[in-house]
Amino acid sequence: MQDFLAYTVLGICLGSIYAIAAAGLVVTYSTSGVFNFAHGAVATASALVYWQLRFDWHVPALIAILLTVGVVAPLLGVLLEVVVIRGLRGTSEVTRLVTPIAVLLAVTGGSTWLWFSNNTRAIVPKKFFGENNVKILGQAVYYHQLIGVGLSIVIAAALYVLLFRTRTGVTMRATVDDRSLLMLNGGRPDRASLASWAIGASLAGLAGVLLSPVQGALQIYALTLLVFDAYTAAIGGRLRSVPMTYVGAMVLGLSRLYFDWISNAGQRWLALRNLRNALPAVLLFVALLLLPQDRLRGAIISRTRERFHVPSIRQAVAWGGVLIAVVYMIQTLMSGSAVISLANAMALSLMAISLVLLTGYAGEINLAIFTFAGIALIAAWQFDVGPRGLATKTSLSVPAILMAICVCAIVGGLIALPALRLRGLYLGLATFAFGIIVNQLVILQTQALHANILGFKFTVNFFSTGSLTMPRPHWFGINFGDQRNFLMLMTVMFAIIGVGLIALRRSAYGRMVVAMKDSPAACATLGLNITRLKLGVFMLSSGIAGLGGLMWAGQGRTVANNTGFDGFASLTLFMIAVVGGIGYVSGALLAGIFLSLLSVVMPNIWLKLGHDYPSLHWLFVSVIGNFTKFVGPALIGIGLGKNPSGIAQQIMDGFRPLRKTPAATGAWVAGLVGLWVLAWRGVIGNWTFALTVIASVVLIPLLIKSLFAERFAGDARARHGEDLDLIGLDRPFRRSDRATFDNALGIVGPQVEVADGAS
Amino acid sequence: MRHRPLRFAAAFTALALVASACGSDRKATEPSSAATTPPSAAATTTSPAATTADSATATSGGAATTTPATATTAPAPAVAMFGDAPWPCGPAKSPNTDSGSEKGVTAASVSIATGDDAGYAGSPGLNHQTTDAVKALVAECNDLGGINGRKITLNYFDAALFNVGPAIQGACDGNNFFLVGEGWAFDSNQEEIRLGCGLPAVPTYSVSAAFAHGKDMFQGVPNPSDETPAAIFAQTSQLLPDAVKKVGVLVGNYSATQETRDKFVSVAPAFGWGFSETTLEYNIAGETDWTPIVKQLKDAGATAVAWSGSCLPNLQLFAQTAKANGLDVPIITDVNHYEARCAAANTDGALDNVYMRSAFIPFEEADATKATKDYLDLIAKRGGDIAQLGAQATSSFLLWATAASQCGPALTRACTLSNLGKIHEWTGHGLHAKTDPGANHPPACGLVLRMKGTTYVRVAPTKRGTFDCKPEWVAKVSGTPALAAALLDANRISQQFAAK
Repeated sequence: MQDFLAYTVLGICLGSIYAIAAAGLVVTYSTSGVFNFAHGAVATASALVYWQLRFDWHVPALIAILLTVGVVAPLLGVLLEVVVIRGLRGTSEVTRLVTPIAVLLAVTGGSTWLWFSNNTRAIVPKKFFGENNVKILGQAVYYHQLIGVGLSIVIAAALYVLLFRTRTGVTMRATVDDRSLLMLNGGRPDRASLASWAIGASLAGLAGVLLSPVQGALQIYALTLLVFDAYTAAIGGRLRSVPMTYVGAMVLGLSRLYFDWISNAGQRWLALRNLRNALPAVLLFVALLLLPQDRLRGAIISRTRERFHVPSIRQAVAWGGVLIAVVYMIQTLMSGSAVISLANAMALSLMAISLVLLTGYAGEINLAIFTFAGIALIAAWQFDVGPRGLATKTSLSVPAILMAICVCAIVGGLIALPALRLRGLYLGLATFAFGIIVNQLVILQTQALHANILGFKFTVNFFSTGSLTMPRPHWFGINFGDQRNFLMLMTVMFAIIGVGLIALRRSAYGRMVVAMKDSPAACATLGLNITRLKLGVFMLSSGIAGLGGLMWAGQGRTVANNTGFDGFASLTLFMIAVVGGIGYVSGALLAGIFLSLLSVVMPNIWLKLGHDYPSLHWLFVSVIGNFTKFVGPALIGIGLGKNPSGIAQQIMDGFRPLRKTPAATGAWVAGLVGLWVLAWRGVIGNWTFALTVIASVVLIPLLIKSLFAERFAGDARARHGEDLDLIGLDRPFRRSDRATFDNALGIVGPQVEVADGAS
Repeated sequence: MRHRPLRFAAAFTALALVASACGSDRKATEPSSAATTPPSAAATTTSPAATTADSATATSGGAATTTPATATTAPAPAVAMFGDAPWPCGPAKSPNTDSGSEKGVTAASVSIATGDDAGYAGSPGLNHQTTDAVKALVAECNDLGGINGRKITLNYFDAALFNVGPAIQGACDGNNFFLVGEGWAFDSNQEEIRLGCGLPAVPTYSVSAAFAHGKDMFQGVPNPSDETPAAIFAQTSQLLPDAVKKVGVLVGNYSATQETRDKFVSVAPAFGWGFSETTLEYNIAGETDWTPIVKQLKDAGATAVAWSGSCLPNLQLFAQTAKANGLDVPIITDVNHYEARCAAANTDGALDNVYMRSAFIPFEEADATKATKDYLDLIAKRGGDIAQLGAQATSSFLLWATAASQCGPALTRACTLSNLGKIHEWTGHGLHAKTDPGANHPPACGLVLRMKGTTYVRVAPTKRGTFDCKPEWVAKVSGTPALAAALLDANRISQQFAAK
């Protein structure tokens, strides 16, 4: 009984801090409709600001708290709302989910840059009133924890009053329920949204200040992840109810402590030892499945700004061939380490391509792509290597690959089944939680699983030594252990899968999938079996993700159990895939390249420059290198709101003029091939080749367009970059649009000039 | 991308490194061309390290207490010294030859590669102190004349924790003679490529069993999987005889800390330790409340805690919670807790009962140990940051430079590897306890430090600049998963990638 009381006290203390963090999430979501994935990052940044003020500059505690929670954090919230969130209107749920992920990366990158760039000092915030504690029901409780309990009660009450008993609160909630109606009634949704983001960020800041001493020396990712746990509480309140959020937070806090109690801190059942770490994710998954999803159940049809064009199969095959040829040509010029970076990019692209089907075509979300990579790796390793050891296996076998794909497809199906009724954000969170659960219970599993099924005994070793090493294929007499061969193998795989996906998209099945994305309710009305469709898409996508993951593992050869399976990597890949163009196969290719560029190539370039020129180390590494990490994701986040269709679409639009000038385009391509020949023969250097190619890719389309301007006079789309049939729908009709229509219809004459000049 | 606890991973690698020891019959890797070793090298196979007989000795609990190193021969006064031995650098004593076929070597220069994980976004600058040390040593060595007159060119590769493949491939593709003083936490990812291109290594540290037992790999302080230094167990049995009877083991849920736990549990009972708990693990991403773990240890009657993990934030939070909940027992841990930031954070004294093992002379004793002072002075002179890993990188660089310089005018990989295989007594010119790099054995010596407020104090042996030593303190390890995965052959060389 004494233990029960002690753990109850501790659970309430923990739940109170979760409640504060979750309350901020509820405020922003219930008033802006955007789930703030960056909530934890804002909390972390605020904790760092507080540490800076309080412990580095020795500002009195109360002033430091007021400055942090009352000024800096709300300003950060306002900044995010104005610069990023406001641009998300009219975008799909996927874009609204992904943009805060970009903000998350930007804020953590910025915090790392500002506070951890030299990695030589520890940032150790201290508890309020230090280590002073009091015994409550026999359990030592820090004063700091009691302050958290008190604040959470005050905040819960204040928020309830604000949202449900004041005009401001009603306006804030009305902003997301029906923005147009609110405006008709004289409300100011922009102002309400601004206020909600300021309050949400302030609460995140308070949670950060309270949580950081509990975390000890500040670690950016650790504190951010801790706030992730608060998602469970927020979902408990269905992202709208403050009281239910508070209840959810208490359930979460108490569950964690009670599990520790009954499991002897994880020792009672060693195979489930890490369940203590996965418990918030388990509860999140269960809450998502059990709670009513009225907001998402209905088929709300709304026009979004994302537009994806589907190439013909002939075009797809041609571009697949071009990809293989280009990669082959380029790799002949590259150094071994550069080939590894390119191969790494191709492996990531193979994983990202699974999202084209799932998210781009079907509109479903999977935030656990790396989890499927881990599952595929375990399955194939178990099949091919297992206890026999790597030395017994010189080639990854086809049966092992098929086994990995099947296991991933089955797991994908198992996830899809309970998640069938979930869409959008809730589905995203469910898959994210699934990823964390698998990471803790399977990937980080050190106990072997012994099973006896129908008399067939077998043992499954997971990452028992912390890492698994995969053989590479050796097929058709080709040794894919060679890095260049393996790169080409992955490229061919990508091209084949890409063509296959486009063929699928153009088939009747593909049209059904797209219809399901547009309106599940309409599909059901027309007699389509949504359940079977969704299940099929999930299984197919998971199988592709498994294949991609296997190639990614084969590329790395040895994969440690803490290499990207904790959720961040999956979030990042998903975000980059959306940025690349989630509806395009080429978007997936770009995603892999961007990720490899951002995480490997660019940092190495700056570091190498810094080491080669020590006097400029501060510029290349400390300023440009770190600034790139910070600005890159931020620009991506802002850019998504402006161009939700992705970069692939932008690039295609940029090259559209080339279609009308085949001769000039042919000459350009021939020039590029000529350049490659010169580089291959060593006549020109690789840098010359690369810079010339990049310059020509940027300049030639512009040059062609200006040289053959008359051919594009009527191409309003090329000129304006928008669909004519959407003018007046996506934005108000302007008088100057008349000229655009005239041009498109070939009505040329003086009236065009007059119209252009009209205002 | 991502990934939180991994900054800890690399910080922890420091742990695996310094603490080890071995004692087996691993034969030095003998390259096929070993016969080409020049007479000058063959005649100088003794390391600058002291033999036990040469050492100043005292006794401490029945163990011989040795100074870390004493040069066997007094250097000529004009010779530049690092620690207790001459710098292995200087002008050419005879004209260098250039076969034209030896990678990275010309008559006037030798290129080597190094690297770290400094670019890891989660912890910028991670372990950069190893590269700081190597850069300083290269600059100083070149000023002294280079390796037998060959100026050293240093090529740097940042693996940023996860990008080991491009880093090692870059080192292979570049015109590099050796990989020297490098430290990449995920070094298992490098082995296939390294072995494929035949790049020998004298790293600062190794983490994976595949690399710790890698072909053509020698370390200043070896860290094999089949042996471990046991000095700490014997020393704490004397220092804290009652406490070690019921030790609770607590480690992070990370493979390197789990391997350390396996070694503890396998070896320590032979030195008088008993255990109350051996399966407790904490979440390296951070515990939301340490009380349940403290309660578990308390309820099990733990009289001491053997900890493997990181100092900040985890050990500090654990110690604070233990204190608040009445669990005031010694905490015994590894040298990765010998860290300026860790000590600076101990303003409340929660870590005062922390004991840690080390095979290196603490920086606080620089006035008593010339090698330590020389390392600190060198970094101060050339720029950079100081850390235990930096001193370890220094030891490995000096080991390589010693072996390379012994080759004289005909510098080849085969000759250098042959010389490395013959060095069986090595102290890094006095930086650390004696090791056997040639046979891949860790030190049989150790010292114990205790944290006191924001400083470290030596508790065993109490004499500054010395270690407790016993040959049997290199303990054999068996039955651990890491050892099984290493696939060691009869010479204790890992075959994990050899068959590829």
